[in-house]
Amino acid sequence: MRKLLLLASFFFVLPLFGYTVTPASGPAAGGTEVTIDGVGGFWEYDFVYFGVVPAASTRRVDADTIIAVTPPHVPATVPVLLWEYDIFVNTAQTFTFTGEVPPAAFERLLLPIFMPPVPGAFGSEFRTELSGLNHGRDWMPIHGLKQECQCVPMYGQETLRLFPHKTLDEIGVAYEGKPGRFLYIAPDQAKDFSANLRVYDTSRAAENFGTEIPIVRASAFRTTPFALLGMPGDPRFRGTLRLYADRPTTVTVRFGNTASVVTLHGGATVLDPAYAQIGNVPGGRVIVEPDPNGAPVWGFISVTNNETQHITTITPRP
Amino acid sequence: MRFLFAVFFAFAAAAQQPDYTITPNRGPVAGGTEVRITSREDLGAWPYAVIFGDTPVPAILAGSHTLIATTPAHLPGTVPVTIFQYDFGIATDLTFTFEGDAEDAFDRLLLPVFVPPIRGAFGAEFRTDLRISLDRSATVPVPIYGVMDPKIYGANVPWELDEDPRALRIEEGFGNPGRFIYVPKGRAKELSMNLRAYDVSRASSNYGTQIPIVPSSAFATDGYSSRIGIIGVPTSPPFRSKLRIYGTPDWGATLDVDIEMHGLTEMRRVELVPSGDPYTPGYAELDLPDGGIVNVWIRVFTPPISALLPAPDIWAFVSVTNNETQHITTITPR
Repeated sequence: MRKLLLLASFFFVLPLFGYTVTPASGPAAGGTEVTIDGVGGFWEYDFVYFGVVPAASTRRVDADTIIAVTPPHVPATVPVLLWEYDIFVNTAQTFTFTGEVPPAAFERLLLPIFMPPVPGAFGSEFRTELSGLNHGRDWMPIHGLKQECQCVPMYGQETLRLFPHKTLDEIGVAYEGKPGRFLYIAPDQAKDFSANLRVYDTSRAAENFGTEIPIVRASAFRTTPFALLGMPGDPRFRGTLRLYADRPTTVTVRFGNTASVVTLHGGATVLDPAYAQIGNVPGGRVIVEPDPNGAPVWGFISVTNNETQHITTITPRP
Repeated sequence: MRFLFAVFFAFAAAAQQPDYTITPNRGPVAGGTEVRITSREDLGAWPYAVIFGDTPVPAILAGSHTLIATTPAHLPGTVPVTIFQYDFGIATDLTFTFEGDAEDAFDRLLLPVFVPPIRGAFGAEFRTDLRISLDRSATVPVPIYGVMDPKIYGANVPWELDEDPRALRIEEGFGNPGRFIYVPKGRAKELSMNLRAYDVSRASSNYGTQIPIVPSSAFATDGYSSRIGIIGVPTSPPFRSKLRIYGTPDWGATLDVDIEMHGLTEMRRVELVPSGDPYTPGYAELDLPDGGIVNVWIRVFTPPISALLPAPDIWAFVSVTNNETQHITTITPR
C-alpha cells in the first residue's frame, strides 16, 4: 500500500497555485469550451483531463491560460486535471456534466448482475466476476466501473481508465450493482473491449465454474413483446424473472392466462438500470410486454436449483 | 397398317405431353416470381395451393387448366413443386430452382451445439433442447429452414399462449455440433428461441446450460483481419476447456489461436474446415492446454494468395466442463 501511495503521488500533485475553471458545467454531449486560468503557468505540452477522460482538445493561449473542449461524458461532477509530461496536477476545480447521455457518443452495455458477494442457502456465497481486457492502443475510459482501490482521489469516480493490454483483474473493480449496472464506452473503443461476466458459488467452486451472464447491448432492449421459453415446472427449481430498463417504466408479464402489470423502479443515475424482479416464476412460457410508449426493456430468468444452488439462465433469443 | 400407325402416333403423342408444366421454373431466393402451372386435366373449382419444397403458398385459378402462384422466399436449390387441392397433395414431377445467395433473403442463425444424445463420463448423457415460439406479433407462419433437415417449422401451428413450446431434439447428427438455421429476412423478431444443453443423469440437480443462438451480425466479418477474444478461461483441473470455432459454410481457413497465460503466449494453428452445405457451419475445435486462467485470441491466418481467396466469417466460444460433475459453463466473446 505504501508503494502504491508513493507511486500515485509521483503521478498526482496537489496544486500549489490557484486555478479557475470557466464555465464549471456543460452538457454531457461535450463540446464546451472551458477556460482554465492558472497563476502558476502552463507548459506548452499540458493537456487537460476531465476526471479520467482526456479533453477533446487542449489549446494553450498563453502562459496563464489554457482552453480545453470537453469530451462526451456521462452526467457527473469530475475533477479537472492537468497532465504535465509525466504527472497529473490537480487544479482543485471540478466540472459538472449535465443532461442526458448522448446516445451516439457511447455504446451502452448492461451487466445484469454486478453485485457484491451475496450469501445464499446451504452455505453458498454468490460472487460476480467481470473479466475484461483492453486490447486497443489507447487508454480506455469505462464509465460505470469504479476502481476498488481508493488510493488517489480521482479514483473515487465512477469512471475507470483501463490501460492498453491490461485486464480488469489487475486493477480491481468495485461491484456495486443494484443488481445491474450500465457501462458506457466510446464506440470507437468498444470494439477493443473484450469482456465476460459470470456468477459463481464460492462454496462449490471446485465443482462448478459458475454461470455466464450475458453482457447486453442497448440494441437488445425492446418495446415489443418477447417470450422466455423453457422455465421448468419442477418444484426442485425456482425461477426469478429480472427486468431492466434505462428509466422507470411498466411492463405486462404473462404467465399462461395470468397477466400482471409490473413497474420497473430506480434508475436514479444513468449507471443504475430501472429494475424489477418477480420470484417463483411458474413453469412454461413467460411473455413480457413492454409499454410501447415506455422505455425499451430487457429481461431474463435465473433458474436456481433449490438444493445445489446451480443457476441456469433463460434469456430472450435471438 | 395406316390405322396401326395412327394409333401408335396418337399414343406416342399422348405419352410425350406432360401432365403439368411450370413457367418459369427458376427465380431468386427472395421469392416473388409469378409462376404459371398448366394442367392437362381440368382443375375444377377447388381451392388450391402450391407447395415449393415444403413451403406452401396460395394459388389462384386462371381458367380451368392454369394455376398462378407467387414463389415464397426459399433457400437456394431445386425443389419439387406440389399442387395442393383442398385437402391433399398432387405430385407434379415439376421442379423450381431458387437461385442466389441465401443471405439475400434470409437471416442466418447459428445453433452452436445441436446434437443427438451424447454419452459422457460418469454415466452422463448430454442432450440439447431447442424451443421455438411464434410471437403474438406474427400474423402469418414463419418458415424456419434447417431445424429438422430442411423443413418448415411452426408453419401451420399457432402455439396456444398457455403452452410452453415443446422441445425439439434430434436423433441423428449433422456432422459437427453446430447447425445453421434460416428465417426469412426481418422475421426473426417474430420468434422467441431457447437452446439448452443438459445432462440427463443430473437433471434433478442441474437444469443445464443455456447455449447462445448466434445471429450472423455477431460473427467477425473482417475477413483476414477478423479477431475474436475470449477472456478468463480456466484450463487447469478440475476444469477442461474446449474452444469451438464456427465459420460460414463455403470457405475454409487456417486459424491462429493465441493462448495467453502468465504473461506468455502460446500459438496453436487449427484448420476451419468448410462444409459446403448451407445448414452446416465450418468448424474447428481445440482442447486448451493446462495453464491456469488464460485469454484466447483467434485470428485468421493470411495466406500468400489472400487476394484470391475470401475468408469466412467466424464466431467462437469456449465450453468449460468440470471433470467430475460434468457441469458446463460457456464463455462467449462480448
